Amino acid sequence: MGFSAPGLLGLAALAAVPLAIHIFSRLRLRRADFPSLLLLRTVRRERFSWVRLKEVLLLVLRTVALLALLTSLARPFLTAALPALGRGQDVVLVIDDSYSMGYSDRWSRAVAAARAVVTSLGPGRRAVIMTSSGGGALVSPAALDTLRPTGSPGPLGPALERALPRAESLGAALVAVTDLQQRALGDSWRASGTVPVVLLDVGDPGFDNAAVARLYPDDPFAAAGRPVGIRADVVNYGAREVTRTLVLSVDGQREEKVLTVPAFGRRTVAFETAVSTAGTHRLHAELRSDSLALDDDRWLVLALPERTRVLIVESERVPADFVVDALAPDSAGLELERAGRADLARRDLREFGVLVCTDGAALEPGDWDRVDFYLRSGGAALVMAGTAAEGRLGALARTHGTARPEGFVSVTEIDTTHPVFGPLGAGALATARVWTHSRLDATDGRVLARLSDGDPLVLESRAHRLVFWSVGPGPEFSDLVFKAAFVPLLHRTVSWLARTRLDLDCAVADTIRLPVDRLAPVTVTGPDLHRLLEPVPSGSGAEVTLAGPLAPGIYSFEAEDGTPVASVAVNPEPGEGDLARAAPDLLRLRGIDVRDEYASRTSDLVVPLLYVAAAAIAAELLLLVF
Amino acid sequence: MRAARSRRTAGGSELLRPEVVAKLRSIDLKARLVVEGFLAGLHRSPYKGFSVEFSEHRAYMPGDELKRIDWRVYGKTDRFFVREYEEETNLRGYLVVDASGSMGYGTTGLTKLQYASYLAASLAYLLLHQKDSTGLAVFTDRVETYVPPRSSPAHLSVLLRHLDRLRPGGDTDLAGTFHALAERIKRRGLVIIISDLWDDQSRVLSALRHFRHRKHEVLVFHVIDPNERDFAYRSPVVLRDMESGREMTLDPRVVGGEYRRGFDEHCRAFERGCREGLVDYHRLTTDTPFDRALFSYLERRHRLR
Repeated sequence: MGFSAPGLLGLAALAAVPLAIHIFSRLRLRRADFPSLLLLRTVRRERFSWVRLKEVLLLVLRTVALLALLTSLARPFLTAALPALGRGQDVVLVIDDSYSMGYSDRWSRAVAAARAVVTSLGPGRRAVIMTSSGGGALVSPAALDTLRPTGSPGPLGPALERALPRAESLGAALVAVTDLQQRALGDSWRASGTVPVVLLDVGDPGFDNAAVARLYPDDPFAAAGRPVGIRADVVNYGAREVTRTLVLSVDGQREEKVLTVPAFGRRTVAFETAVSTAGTHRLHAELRSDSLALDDDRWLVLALPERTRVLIVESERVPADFVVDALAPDSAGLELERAGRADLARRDLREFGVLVCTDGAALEPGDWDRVDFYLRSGGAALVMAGTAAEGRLGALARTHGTARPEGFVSVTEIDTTHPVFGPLGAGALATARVWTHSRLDATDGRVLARLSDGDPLVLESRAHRLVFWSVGPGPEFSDLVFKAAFVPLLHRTVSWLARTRLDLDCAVADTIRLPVDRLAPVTVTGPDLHRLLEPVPSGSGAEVTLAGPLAPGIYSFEAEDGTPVASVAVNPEPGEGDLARAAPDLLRLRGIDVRDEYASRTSDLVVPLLYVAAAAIAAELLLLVF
Repeated sequence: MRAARSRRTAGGSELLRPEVVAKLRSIDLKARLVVEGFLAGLHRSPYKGFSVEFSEHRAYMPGDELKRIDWRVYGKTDRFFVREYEEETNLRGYLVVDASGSMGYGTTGLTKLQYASYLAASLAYLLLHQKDSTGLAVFTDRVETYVPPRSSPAHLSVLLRHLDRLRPGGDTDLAGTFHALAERIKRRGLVIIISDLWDDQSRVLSALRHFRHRKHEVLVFHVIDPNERDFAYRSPVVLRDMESGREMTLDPRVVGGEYRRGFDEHCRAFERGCREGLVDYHRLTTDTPFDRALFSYLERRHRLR
């Protein structure tokens, strides 16, 4: 037997009220002297037995009626034993604790099903229990009631993958209690054939769920001094249109929006609230009155930097005039400083937010070492390769020499999913002509724009915050500097590199790695933890690591002296709110046995209890009348 | 006759109400008030004249017995006069008062024992006033006090002192006590029993017949409290037996009707048993004026003449 709303089960204690009143009233009975009980004893002998019986019956009926009514509030259900499941063998039981299991009464039904599996085992048989987010850690059967759905997506496929070898070694059946969420199972996982795999389905065919899928600034290159608007994407995963209230809190300031989201649709909400001051801002968006709570909250840490110092290193061959002219109008956000290549050795690069080098080919090996150190220390750089010969870009990138095509090459491919190019659009550089460029090797980077000869025009390093242009900022390379797109392209690239040194938005169960200046302990405080982290050397500096936080919220990192180091927003994977179910028939094709008889064999006890209460009340009335 | 008596006593009966009598300080005052008040109402009644010693003549009134007409005076005056006598008798009156624990019950401001003691005092006053020898027996489950009958006026104070000291307590054994008294009282007389009669009916009636067997005239005053009769409890109550101390939880809504019927039958059975045994039985609630009891006595006294 299980309860869909076990929190209300405590109300059943109120059924003792009639008994308490009965005892209390007996204690408070008036006492009086009477001359003789001689006659009363005779009368009482005749009447007592029926009166006493009636009294006891009334008390019992009252208590039963109240108990039935109050227990029905906790929505009890009866779980039948699971036939032919694990009776003859051990069971490895995986409980899907992804946050979609928090929908409606799924979790209580899942726990009841898990308990039913454990209790249905034959004598001498045992159950090995684990959760999908637990990474293979075992759970005691006694601790089933303490489990809760986590904020992690906790995909079931990898969890089954981990559990399978254990089941094989024990000769046990592999049983998973899950809501059969399509995305949790994935499309690739198959049963091994040697171990029977059974999925106990506690999901519901129909559902409605909306979620805050994203909370973000309207300008990804926000800087202090300019108001930054806030937006939120709300997704409706259900088949019915929903109306919800979305509440945004920014540094304690609240704003509410009521929105209607169509079935399977998405709405973007633009808030009036804006942030403009430099520093770290904590934002929280909350969707109210929704059935799955875990994806109704979303946090964002927005770090607006002070003015960013940009060091522009130029060579005699490739001066920085076009670059300076392009960046200068944004005087509010950037502080430009111009230097020759020879000055590079005398500068402490860590004082600058971004390094722009107009002629990468002019840098000496020693210069590359400095740039490499700077990047490893958290710096960012835009290097325009110019006419670099093979191997002339140090260890950070590889070139295959310089290309001088006959005529020109043009830009044929742009990655518009990247923040730099997204707003510019696919045709932004269509008219630009390139007649000299370095042939950058794209193996270790992401190509953001590609030329018609197949070589990258813009390449982003995967290892560092580093972007390469294969051309220099001058007319001898291309006519790009004369194009309208040059200024926003350069500006967005520098802003992209200049943004905060840490990606402050993580997903639940991600590992947070945070660079720190010193090898001193850092304290992290989150929704469900307060812990001291020891930094470890990493590259040229140090970093602290927080592995897999499971509770969504904002995690604050502070140095020993209380100085804030960073704040990180940890949010659930937005797609987990999509409760679309996998098709059992397709799963069976993959060797997975799906049993939905559990759901059909689960009897709702609310209606029978209401009948019991009504019968008890009717019997009481009859007793009172006769 | 009963209606006429009631009319005659109405004038002084205000003073004979138990709650009025109870306010008086000493028991002799109470007895005197009751008896004087009673006699004041009696002056106009035919009961004056139970004596055997001639006192005076008075004009014949309808209702007077013909044998009491003085025919000589009629011969002289041609008018009917009847002879009146001062009573002169050797009657021995025995006041038997129940002082068991149950007599301590009272809901009218007066316990049954108080009512019984005032009634006994009044009867003693009246008996001695008529020169009858009067004795007193107080009992619980045994005879606690026994004062042999005397007729001297000074004996009244002895009786009143004993009556004034009565306190309820102990169990009841009416039958045993009555049997003992019946054996103890050698000379026949009028036995006036004042009790709530909470005991086994058959045994009590048997004991009363013992008195009759010893040639005594017996007058029983059954003293009850109104609440004993009405059982006027409204909510469940724990009742404690005043003699045994035992408790019983009862819902008056359930047992009230049954009890009232049972109590009524209990009283009727006493009344019937007494009548069959030629014993005078009078039921008195503690709010009944004392004159009714005194009339009962006088009726009985008249029959003894």
